[in-house]
Amino acid sequence: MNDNIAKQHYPNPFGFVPFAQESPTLKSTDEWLKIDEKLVTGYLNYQITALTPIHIVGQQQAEGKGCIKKSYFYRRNEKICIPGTSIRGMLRKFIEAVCNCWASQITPYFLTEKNHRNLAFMVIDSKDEFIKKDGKVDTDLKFSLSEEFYPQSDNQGKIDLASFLFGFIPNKGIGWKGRIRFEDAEISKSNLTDKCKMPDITGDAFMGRPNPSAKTWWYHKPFGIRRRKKTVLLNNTERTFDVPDFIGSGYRGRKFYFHQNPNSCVEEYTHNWPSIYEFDLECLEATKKSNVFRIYFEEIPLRLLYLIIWALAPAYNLKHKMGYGKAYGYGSVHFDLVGCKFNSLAYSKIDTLDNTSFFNELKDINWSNQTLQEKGIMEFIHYDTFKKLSHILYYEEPLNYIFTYPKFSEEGFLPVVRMRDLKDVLNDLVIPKSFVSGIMELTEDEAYKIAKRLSQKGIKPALHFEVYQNSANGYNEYMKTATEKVSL
Amino acid sequence: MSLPIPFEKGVLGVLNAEWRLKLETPLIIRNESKAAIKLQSEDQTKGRGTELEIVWLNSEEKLSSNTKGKKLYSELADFNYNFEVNGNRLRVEYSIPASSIRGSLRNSAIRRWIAPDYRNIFTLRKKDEIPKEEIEKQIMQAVKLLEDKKNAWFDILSLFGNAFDIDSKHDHPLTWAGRLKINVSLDNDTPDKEITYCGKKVERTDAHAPQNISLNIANRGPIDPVTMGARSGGLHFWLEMSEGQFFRIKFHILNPKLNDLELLDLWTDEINEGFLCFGASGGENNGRASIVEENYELFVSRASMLSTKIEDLGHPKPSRSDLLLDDIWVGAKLPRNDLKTVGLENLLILKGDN
Repeated sequence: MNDNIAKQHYPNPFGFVPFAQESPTLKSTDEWLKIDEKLVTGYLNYQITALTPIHIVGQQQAEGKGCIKKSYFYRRNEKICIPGTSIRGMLRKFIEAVCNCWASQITPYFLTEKNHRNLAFMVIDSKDEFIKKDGKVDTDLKFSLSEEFYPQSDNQGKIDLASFLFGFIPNKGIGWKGRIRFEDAEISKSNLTDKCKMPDITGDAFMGRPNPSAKTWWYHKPFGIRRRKKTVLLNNTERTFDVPDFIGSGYRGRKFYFHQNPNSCVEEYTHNWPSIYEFDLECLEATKKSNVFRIYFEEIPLRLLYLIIWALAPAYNLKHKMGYGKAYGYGSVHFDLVGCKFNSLAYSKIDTLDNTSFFNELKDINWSNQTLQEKGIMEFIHYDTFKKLSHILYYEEPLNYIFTYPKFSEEGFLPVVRMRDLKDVLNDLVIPKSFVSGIMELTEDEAYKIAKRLSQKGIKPALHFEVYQNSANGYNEYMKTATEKVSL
Repeated sequence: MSLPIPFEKGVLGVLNAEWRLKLETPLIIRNESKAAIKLQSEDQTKGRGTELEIVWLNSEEKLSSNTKGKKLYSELADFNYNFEVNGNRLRVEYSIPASSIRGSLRNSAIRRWIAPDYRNIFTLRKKDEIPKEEIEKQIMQAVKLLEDKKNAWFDILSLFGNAFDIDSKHDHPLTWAGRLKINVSLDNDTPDKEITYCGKKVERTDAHAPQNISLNIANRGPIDPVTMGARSGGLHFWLEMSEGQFFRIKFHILNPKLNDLELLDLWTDEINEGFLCFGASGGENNGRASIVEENYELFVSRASMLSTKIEDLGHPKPSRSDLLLDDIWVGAKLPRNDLKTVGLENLLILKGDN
């Protein structure tokens, strides 16, 4: 056992927030509208402050085959802005997670990549299309996402909370229009900086594409180990031997990125990783603000307006991330409520709230359990999920922790494990399991132990997500701090 | 039962209103057709907008072609256009369909004036979806709402017309023409009609494409919540009419009523505050505009009680005063606020009615 090998990496820059055990709450539009006597229409004025530099990809200057020289901040026509779509996407994802909603925009299946190192799988039941695209149905694999989390329109017209607020377009039939609209947050040119850097390699994507495989326990929870025949050419002779595939089943959860200092993170890559170059990122400079922008809401129950305000700034030390380079520390943001206006023209049944008193009450609100209860939004928050997410979104300066992706070894990100290494580990751990019809089913605990022992031997350290994180430099210390500091 | 019949006494007045609007955010009105867009050269694996090209003519060919195993062109949803025959020449121009603007205004009126529980009264579900008795019940509810003239449905449907699709043999056919006609035109004199992608100008190389507005190439790529990578097949591009350009809405309202003016007030506020946006707004407040100019001309038949008052008030004459029609109509150009006090409630009272 070599403990040093396991200690030699930083934690991975993202974590997963598990899907809740309970199914999402679904209601018809009428039922959602009736969760509060008051329906409100109006807009909130917000301003975004960059806590770390923010980059939204616009035009990207490149040289040669694939070498980016500079990535410019997004412009819509001439206007430099954080597009409303980015703000909307960020907020929707947060609400979907903490309010235990559907997982919208889920990719229905993943096919085998050109190098055949990964394993094609279906995230949801999409058999017809999967087969049409040359996907081979693997009967050992289950769908990666439980059916209840996949947005569907055949629920007798019932939708989840996020779809009620943000809209939902089903594959067929009539869609639901969203009730919140986001203006672009304009940026003054003087608030941009050219000093930010992004690590990259020429030609290929730096960290590969985020195409999960069912053959690791990284995106998926462990299911078991499957024996596979592998043929290689040795001294001009074909040799066939058994290799273990670590089969996963069921996504670990929704991905969110930790906050970190981009300078330290980028430096870590450029100094310690081979073949890295840097390109310029045009960013909204840290501490600088966007112009004021509006978030419109149209006939939503007042309780859900409170929920939106809470979701944008859930606690003083919980911050969102948006834009490009989140894994490298970019895009930590703070949202300031700077004004609001209720539409006084609404039909007579709607009470119009007083703009000034509403704003004064909420501009610097300190959300405690009591205020969440008082505003009637606690019942929409899945507390355990929020707690897990809060550990990832915890932000407190100075940002001392570094998070980096697992380093490529000569054999790639996920080198093949030899069967004899696996057998040794099983013997070491006294796990008396064997292959039945080519499959060795494992409990979560067994899988964790196996992955940990392999990692300690320096074999496939990025096999099991939790093992990798738990054995990373500073991860446990970070989690301890985050747990202590985030008071929910 | 007395249902509203908009033209019981014929047409006794016409209100012509014209608004000039400035687009504050890009306007998206999709067209079925797709152009093709290229963002980088065939040799590049990275970079965005390094080699930009848009192809309208035979775009399908480009979209289906593969170069070195890579799809170089992506679909680009076009902005709405229409064809115009001018002499023996066929011209294609981008345009804003009046039906789209009319729909936005109607929706806004319904949203603000009708409580949610009553909004679907005039939308009949498919006849094979619900029992006949349910349909009958809904029709009677609709009739009752219209009889109650205090209900805003009456005002909205009186202006926009109604096509409640019920059996023609029914006792209460609820179908009539509206009093409102809308025309929309672009008002765009800027000489340089540019296409931009992320602030970079795209050269217009395709002479077949309409060139009468400035456009912006926009794109969206939904993110998978588990991988945080682009959702497979989710990236899409479209052309949007850039902000800062102008268009005009002309309203032609027959037998105008005070409630119509309330609607004009409502729409003015809703547009200027950004609550009422045009086109495909999505979740991003696209199609937000501001009214930068408004003109109103009221024409009243000399048979109406109101005509005498209009003449007495001494407002300026309308721009399209016609000596021949002056014998039949009295016209005045007046601000929106003055329209409210001019006495529209007397428009349909004929001289001698009392």
